[in-house]
Amino acid sequence: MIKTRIKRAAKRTLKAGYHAFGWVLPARVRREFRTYRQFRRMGGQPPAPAPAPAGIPAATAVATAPYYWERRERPGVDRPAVRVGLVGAGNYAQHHLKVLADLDRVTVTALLTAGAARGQATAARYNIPLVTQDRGQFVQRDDIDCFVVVASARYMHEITLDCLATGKPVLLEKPPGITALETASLVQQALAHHTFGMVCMNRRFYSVLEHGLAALAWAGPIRGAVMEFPLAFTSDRQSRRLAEWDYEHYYMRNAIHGVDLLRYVMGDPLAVHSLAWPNEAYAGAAASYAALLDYGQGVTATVVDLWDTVQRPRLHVVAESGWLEFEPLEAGWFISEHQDKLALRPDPVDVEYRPGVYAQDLHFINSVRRGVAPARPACLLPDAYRTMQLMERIQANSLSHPAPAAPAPTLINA
Amino acid sequence: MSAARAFENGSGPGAAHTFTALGVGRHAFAVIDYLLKAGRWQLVSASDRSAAAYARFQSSYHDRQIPFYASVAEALTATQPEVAYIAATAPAHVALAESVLAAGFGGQLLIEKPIACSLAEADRLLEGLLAQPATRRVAVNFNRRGAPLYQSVKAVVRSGELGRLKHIDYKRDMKLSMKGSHYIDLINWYMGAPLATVTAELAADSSVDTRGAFFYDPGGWVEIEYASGQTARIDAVDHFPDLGEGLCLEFELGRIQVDVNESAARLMSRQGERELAAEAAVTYAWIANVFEALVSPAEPCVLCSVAEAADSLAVIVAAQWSHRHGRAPVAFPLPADIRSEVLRLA
Repeated sequence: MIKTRIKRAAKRTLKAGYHAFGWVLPARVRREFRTYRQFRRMGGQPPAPAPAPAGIPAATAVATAPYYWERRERPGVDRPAVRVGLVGAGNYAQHHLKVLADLDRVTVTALLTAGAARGQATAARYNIPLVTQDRGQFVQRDDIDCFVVVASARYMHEITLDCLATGKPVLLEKPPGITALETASLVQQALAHHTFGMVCMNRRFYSVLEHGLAALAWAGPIRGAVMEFPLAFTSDRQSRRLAEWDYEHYYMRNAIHGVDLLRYVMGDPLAVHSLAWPNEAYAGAAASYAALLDYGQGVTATVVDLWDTVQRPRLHVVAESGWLEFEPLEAGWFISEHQDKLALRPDPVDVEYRPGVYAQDLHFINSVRRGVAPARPACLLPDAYRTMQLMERIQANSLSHPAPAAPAPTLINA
Repeated sequence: MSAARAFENGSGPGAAHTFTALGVGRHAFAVIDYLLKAGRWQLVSASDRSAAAYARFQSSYHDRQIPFYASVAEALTATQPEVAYIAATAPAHVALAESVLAAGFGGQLLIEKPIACSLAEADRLLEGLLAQPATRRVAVNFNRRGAPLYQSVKAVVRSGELGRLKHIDYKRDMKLSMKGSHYIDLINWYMGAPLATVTAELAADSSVDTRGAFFYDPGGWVEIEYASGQTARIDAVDHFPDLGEGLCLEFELGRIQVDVNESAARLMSRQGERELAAEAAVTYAWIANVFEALVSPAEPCVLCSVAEAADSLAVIVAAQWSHRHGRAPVAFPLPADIRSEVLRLA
């Protein structure tokens, strides 16, 4: 009996944390594993040393978090061929083309463009046999198994409607519509034609996010999150990089990534309390959107979009025994309960290609091969619809603004 | 395996049975790991609303390309498993089970214990099950029933070898719902009689564990009386070593003791003493036995029904109520206000 008591006491001590038995483990391992049990779970081996992720000062990346895996296709697997019809040849289409060209047994068989010279140049670079401006002819082609729509945001909805009508899967860039209602019409179209549409929310596929969440999953329940998604709106508008239509719908077009990522990590809130200052009378300058999201059981999140501040998105996810920090979203850290800051190591595909795009496009292509809608972390159209609903609830401004003061309100520290 | 899936390596086509995991927390993760390594089960899909659960799952199983869904309906319809295993925390059990029923799932359903956070929820699930055609088996994962050790004790109780079972004691430092509910279920199973009263005094607070600070699950002592006159006492408090931790069943003609490490059951009577069963306690092997019992009716393990699981929950609900009311005995059947009480169980 005494033996049993000693055994149980030892077990409790180990459970309580490695610090009681800290002398057993070398310092580097102690930094990387929260508990002795976790160390054992990882097979008793510390992860291979990794270089600091791009953009992280070497002095900060003292160690890497233990969860890491790679997403690149494995060679030597017999995969069915997939033929892609691509819409768009702009900047972002180049990111998708770079990935599609490198995927095994994937070919882009046709390119639909608006007629700019860039279409021909792109077709030549990626060996695409057909370039057309005829959308009707494009969508009816037999040599296309699925569509990748990277058109400008203004035409995304109507082109996607046509593609879905063929009954073939569609991977489309965000936003899927400029309102939740528009997105709902895409959901209906996909249902009516027994296919699926997947929206390019590539931040869901960031390897640092996945590696961080895998570490956080062992740190107790997630209690909350803070998402800050600032947008340099006025300077962007003045650059005339986009069409005026895009600036008129800037919130839905650009802030969707931040809201969707928060929704992906935290789920659907039970209640939304928001304060929105769209500043439409001043062409959207210095607009602010802030919301408090209530998930029940004391779990809350905040989302803050302060326009015309430094454009560096930040996400903070807090669990009971640790938290994640992403700033910018492409670089992250897991902070353990002992406040060791462990850098999250990115998958090389997120360095070679635009972050998240390789894993996202591969996920879509594999789903086309299987003939079933993709599972997590894909953002399918119904999922995107709920994200847009959440954005509209944030815009709806459930809280009241203070009455205008006299004289005119001044900015703090201005 | 279809040709379309042939490009996915490592999905375990040689396994005998298929299952899906609905809710992939720490416990489910360990169960999946055990079942897949054992080789008789193939995980065809998983589902969890948590992105962290998904990421942790990927950290181990990314090579297998097991689809991981956010919704139960997707996981069931896309992959059609034989067994759906609900392994989320208790607040989600009934809602997930209802989603499984709503999806028209025709396979077997295994729900982690405790069945719910309130008896009203468990009642609702029972009504839902009655309204469905009885083509499937629904069980709650009280895995001790899958242990040959505890089955051997049940066999003695059934045989009447030691006469009538009079009293059961269980002593161990534990949380009443998390670990303790396994022994509450075992005691109910061995007694085989309706509950009459529950009296309890619980610890002033509940330590925080990996499930989170939101959940409240203190230890303490609980006394149970059955309609048949049998009694039981659970001491879920820290003990001195000489107080004999473990399970002790007292019969008219002898007793059975199971040590706290669940490694052996010893029968003591006037005829002498003998070992009923001995085994290395491997919880996950017991869970695997429960899985096997779901798909193989001939298995000796006796599955815990939803109604029996509701009885185990009723003891915990009554214990918390009794504690709050100065150790007042709580009589069964429980009134509606106690049945609708929602506990913070994980």
